[in-house]
Amino acid sequence: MSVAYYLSPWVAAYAIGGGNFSLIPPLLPEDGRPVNISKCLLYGQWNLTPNSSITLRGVTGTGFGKAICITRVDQDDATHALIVADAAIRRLPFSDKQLDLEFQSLSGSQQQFIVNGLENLRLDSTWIVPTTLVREIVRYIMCVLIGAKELGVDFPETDLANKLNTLSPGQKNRVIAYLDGWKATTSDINSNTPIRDIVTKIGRLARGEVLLGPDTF
Amino acid sequence: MASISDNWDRANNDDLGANWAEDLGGWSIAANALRQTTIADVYTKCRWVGTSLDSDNYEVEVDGLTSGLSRGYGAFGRGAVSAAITFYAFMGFGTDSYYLVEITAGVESIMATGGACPDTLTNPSVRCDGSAMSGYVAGVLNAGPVTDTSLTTGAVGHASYSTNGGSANQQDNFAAADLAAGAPAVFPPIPASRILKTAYSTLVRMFRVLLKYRKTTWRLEEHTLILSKVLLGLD
Repeated sequence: MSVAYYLSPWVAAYAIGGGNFSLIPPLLPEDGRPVNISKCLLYGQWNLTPNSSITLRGVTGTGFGKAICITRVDQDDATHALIVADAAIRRLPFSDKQLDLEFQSLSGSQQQFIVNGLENLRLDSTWIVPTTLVREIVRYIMCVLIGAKELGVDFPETDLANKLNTLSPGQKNRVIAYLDGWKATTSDINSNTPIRDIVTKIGRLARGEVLLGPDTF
Repeated sequence: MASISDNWDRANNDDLGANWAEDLGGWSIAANALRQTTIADVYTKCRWVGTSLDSDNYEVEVDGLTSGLSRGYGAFGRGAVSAAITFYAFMGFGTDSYYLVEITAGVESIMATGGACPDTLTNPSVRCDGSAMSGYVAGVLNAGPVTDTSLTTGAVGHASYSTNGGSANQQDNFAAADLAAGAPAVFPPIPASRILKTAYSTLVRMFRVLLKYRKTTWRLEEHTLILSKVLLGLD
């Protein structure tokens, strides 16, 4: 068993028993129940040990926010291989034992993988410096997801290059009020502020410890 | 710190009493246990409306069992104080698994997967501690903790998925208590044997520390003596 972190789509599926999940609805209601899960859970069996998956998602129960999640998977190599084979899921290139590595200690291709992965998911990566710990990167991802879930329909899930004035006035005001509520600096925000900066502010709010099972961020 | 409980040991009745609201589902007392017998294939909840707990940080536990993957039982916390089916819960599905879930208007989101759940009586509990949610089985961590900030306050009670009606599908022994600040709540009460064992191991540890301190002092005295001899030119 080993631990890896995955950025995964949040999907609708069915729990079909034995710790297994399926995208296909069962023939009879008693053969499964509808659930929303990290896509990682479609692969492997999830009741072999406690806490084999822990997921923090960016979407509300009614479907607003950011429809991705981060999942801490503690599974055998075969299950990790199945998850990695899904092109829609990205495995972060470090384990739970390597959270205190600096970004610069990762290989060039691993660094590029992280930067590309974040940007493709509309998560700003420009704040990362060589000495940033990978723990801080995971925390940033988790904080954006928590923020997306808290903001729900108001979360600016749009191209990071877009400006704040592309949001409706109401949405813009609610996002700023949200940041104010967390005592984030908002005096530097104006109509031309890129969404990238807003997402970074959400991801770097001082919200205390964030937990993903035994890992504290 | 407050605590509440109901062991359901009373006469068979469709009326659960003044401490309970049946938000969805037909809940009843049968054979000194709790059953939900009328609504299938969705989440239902039976909410405690008696004396409130003192805070929103608490652990809620039930006993229960179900016979198959399509029936679930569990304890919920921070539930909607209404008929809405919204809460955090730690659910057991017999022969399947335990799941730490957030239910929003009846829709299930899985936050963490627990271990295998048997089709015999078990004791799941959900712990809501600030923004940390976790699930326990018989007092042992099984899923979580995971940070979630959707629900900050609300009610506690029994949750079921589909019907829980019959000796192979039922719930029992509800209990909930506030968490002590900065310390995990312990369910069930600590047995006397464990208290004695803890006291004994604490004494042994103290004795070891004392021994180590004595040894350090002796070494210090020895080094002081050698140094004095060197300084005085005696060595």
